Amino acid sequence: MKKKGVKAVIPYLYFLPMAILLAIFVIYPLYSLVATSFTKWDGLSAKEFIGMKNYVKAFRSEKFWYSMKLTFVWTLLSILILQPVGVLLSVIVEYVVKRRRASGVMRVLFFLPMLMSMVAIGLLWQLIYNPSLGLLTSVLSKLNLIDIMNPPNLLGSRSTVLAAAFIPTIWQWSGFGMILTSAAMMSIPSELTEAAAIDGAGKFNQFFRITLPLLMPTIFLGMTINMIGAFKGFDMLYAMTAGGPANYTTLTSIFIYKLSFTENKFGYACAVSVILILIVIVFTMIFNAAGRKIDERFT
Amino acid sequence: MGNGRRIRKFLSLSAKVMIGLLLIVDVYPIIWMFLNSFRTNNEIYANPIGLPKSFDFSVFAEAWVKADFGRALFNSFYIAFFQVVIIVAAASLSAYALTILNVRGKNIIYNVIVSLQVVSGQIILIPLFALMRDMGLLDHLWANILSGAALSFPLATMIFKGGFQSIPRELYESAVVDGCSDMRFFLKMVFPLAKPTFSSVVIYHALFSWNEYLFALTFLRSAKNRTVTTAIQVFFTQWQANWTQLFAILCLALIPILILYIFLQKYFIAGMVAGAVKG
Repeated sequence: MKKKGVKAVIPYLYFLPMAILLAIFVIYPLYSLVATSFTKWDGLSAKEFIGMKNYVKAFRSEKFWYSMKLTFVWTLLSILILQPVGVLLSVIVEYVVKRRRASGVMRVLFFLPMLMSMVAIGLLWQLIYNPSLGLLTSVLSKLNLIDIMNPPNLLGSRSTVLAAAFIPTIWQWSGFGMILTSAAMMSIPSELTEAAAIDGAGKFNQFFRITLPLLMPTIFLGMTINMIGAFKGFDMLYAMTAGGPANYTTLTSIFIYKLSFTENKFGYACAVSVILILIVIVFTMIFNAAGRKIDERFT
Repeated sequence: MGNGRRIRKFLSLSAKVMIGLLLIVDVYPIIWMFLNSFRTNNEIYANPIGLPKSFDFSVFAEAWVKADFGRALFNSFYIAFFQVVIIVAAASLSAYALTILNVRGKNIIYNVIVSLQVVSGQIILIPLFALMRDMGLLDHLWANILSGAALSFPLATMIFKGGFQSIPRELYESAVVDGCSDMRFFLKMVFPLAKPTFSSVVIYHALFSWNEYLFALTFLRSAKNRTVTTAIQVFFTQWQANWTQLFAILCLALIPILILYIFLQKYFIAGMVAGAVKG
């Protein structure tokens, strides 16, 4: 009897290494995050319990709402642009380009920016956007599109900084959307499109009537990944603009970082983090539910 | 008749031009980065998009020394290596128990692990920072190894579970009848059968760890503990005006991954797709 009890426990030992590390480095910090969010804490002295005050402060803070608005816009752009551009690249590589060698090379090249860290991308694009020496200024002035004496500072002005900061994201992540879509395309049985071709459907119809619907779950998956990535969007922006000019690119994640590590408002920063994770959870749940619907509908 | 053909020819030509332009826009930033690392500051100031006059590799050596890049490479490699070892060992064993072994409450355990995926490093950065300080791990590479591994477990477990599901359970049952232990079955059967899954997890998480920035920025404060990402960022603030070297350091950061990518291209792409699809 006792031996049987021991034997039933043994398989659970396989979870042990993971469980220990998750408990220490994920679950305990999560608990600590929520607990700290109800306190006033400068990071060093004892935490002082202040109830909901941090949350009230956040909801009354213009900076907080601005960062939230920015995070939403950034996330929306990520959801709507990155994956569709990836699909477009994939169509070019798999359909439009006929020679297999050429499409192989293109696949490699479009994926290349994915190998760079987001920090390196932020720094490189900082150079590209440099008003006096940047690649963009040089090319545009050679094409006579801008006045070389008075070049635009895209990362320095409020009206352009968000778009300018988002373009490197497209540059990097469309390659990811492409390989995701291409992998899904390859798993579509060729009999389906061949049958349609026999029935007289042209390439155009084959793609929109057969391939695209079958790709919908993958496209949506790509959008979900980009949604999650957008909420994490910190590295590239922090390296490229550090949230500036003023706070025009201060996403909530950068707002939290500055609150804690430059202003020492750790309790307040924890409250903002809690709000952010709640929003991420809601978004994730919505996207998972929608993903299941799309899976049912298209497969 | 002739008209239709001419239109088609025109369309295919304009498509080619468009694709060509797209490729140039896509790849040129990287080419620009490599070319300018061979041009002096004066050449760049005179014309930012010219070609190099000669290929002088000493600029790379200079940037390497100034950034203490060897140490940064070592640190990044050290973190990625141990992190991946921990991720692979812990997550594959859990996924093995979840898919093949007889464990009660599999679904509950799996759901708990998966639900932890919404927790990102950013969200728990502050309590993690405090924890590392209390544990005396601050400014220690193992702070990044352990926390990064823990945060990667949910995704890695999902990828492994997906890969192990194709292993028939009858195989396990008959092995047990023959007196094979669970651990032995894992090492002798599961590992060889699921090698592609293992390689996907390794590539995905190694790349992720290599490019990690936030924890390196927050936990590893001293110069000797800089990783590649923080080293290039610090280099940019220190040598702002020296454009040749800014380009050189960006190239240095990309080259190791580029070399791996050239040799392991298929695995890179498979790894990224697996990471995404199971996530």
